[in-house]
Amino acid sequence: MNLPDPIPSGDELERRLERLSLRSVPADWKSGVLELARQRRDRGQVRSQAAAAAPSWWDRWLAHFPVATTGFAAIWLVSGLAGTADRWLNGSVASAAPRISLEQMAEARAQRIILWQLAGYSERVDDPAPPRPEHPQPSPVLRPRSDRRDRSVPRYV
Amino acid sequence: MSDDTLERLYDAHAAALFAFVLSVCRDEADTRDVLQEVFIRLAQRPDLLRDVRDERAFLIRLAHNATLDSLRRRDSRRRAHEGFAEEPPRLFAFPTDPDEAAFQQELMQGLGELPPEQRAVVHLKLWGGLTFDQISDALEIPLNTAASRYRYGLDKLRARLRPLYDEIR
Repeated sequence: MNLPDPIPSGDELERRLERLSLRSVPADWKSGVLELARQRRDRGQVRSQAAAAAPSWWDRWLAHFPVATTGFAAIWLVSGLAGTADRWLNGSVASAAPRISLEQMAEARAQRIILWQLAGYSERVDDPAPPRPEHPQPSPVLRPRSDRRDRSVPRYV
Repeated sequence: MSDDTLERLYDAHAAALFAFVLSVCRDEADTRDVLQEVFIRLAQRPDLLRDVRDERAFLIRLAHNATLDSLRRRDSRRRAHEGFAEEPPRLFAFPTDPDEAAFQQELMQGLGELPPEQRAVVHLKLWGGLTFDQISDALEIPLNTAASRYRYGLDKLRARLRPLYDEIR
């Protein structure tokens, strides 16, 4: 025996729900909504027209000081070109210069010493070592205790 | 966009947008704000509708996005004013039959318990007259998602309305 389903079927409930009529928009909304939309549109148009018509700050500056701007641009261009040329020339000179190895430098130094000796001079010291800076010796009090103990206590072998 | 076009759009779609937004966000003041936002966007950007095939679906998409933003803002407001009692809005025409009124009240409670994304699909299918294809286009969700959200939402409504439905049938 088939009992009727106590739960309304999807179709039945759907039909019931679909039959419900929705509330309409409050009548006084229309004028307010459309009026504000128009105002925003017009304000936006005015703002965009003003933005399009207004010259940018560099346009204004260039218009006031055309000679200064042209001179500045020329200086900038020339200095840029000079810098580029300088870099290019230095790079080519450096790459064209022969490279001297350490052995060749040592050999040249030995030959120079021999020439000095032949000429009757004693050997020349080119680069004397710089004097070592004198560091203050730490006072005995500041030495580590173990160090002080080593010196004060005689060792019995 | 010209004034005439704006007015035509309002006359053609405002009622559907109003019901949809009110159903999802459940607050009449927020609904008005959303509707206002949609029409301001249309007025400022007439190019939005240039290549649109389905005007209604497109406007629902605009309204849906604005509604989600509104819900996010309201959530943060509500956190600030927690404990504020909320009354469900009136979505349907005022009924003359008391049984019908009780049914509508229960339905509004049931709709309020649905997540907003299910509520949106249920509304558009039942009262927006949209197909699942149009709903998926309007809400930017896959077709299967739209169908499953509808099914889950309707099941919850059925469970909620069952006692009352049996009583007044």
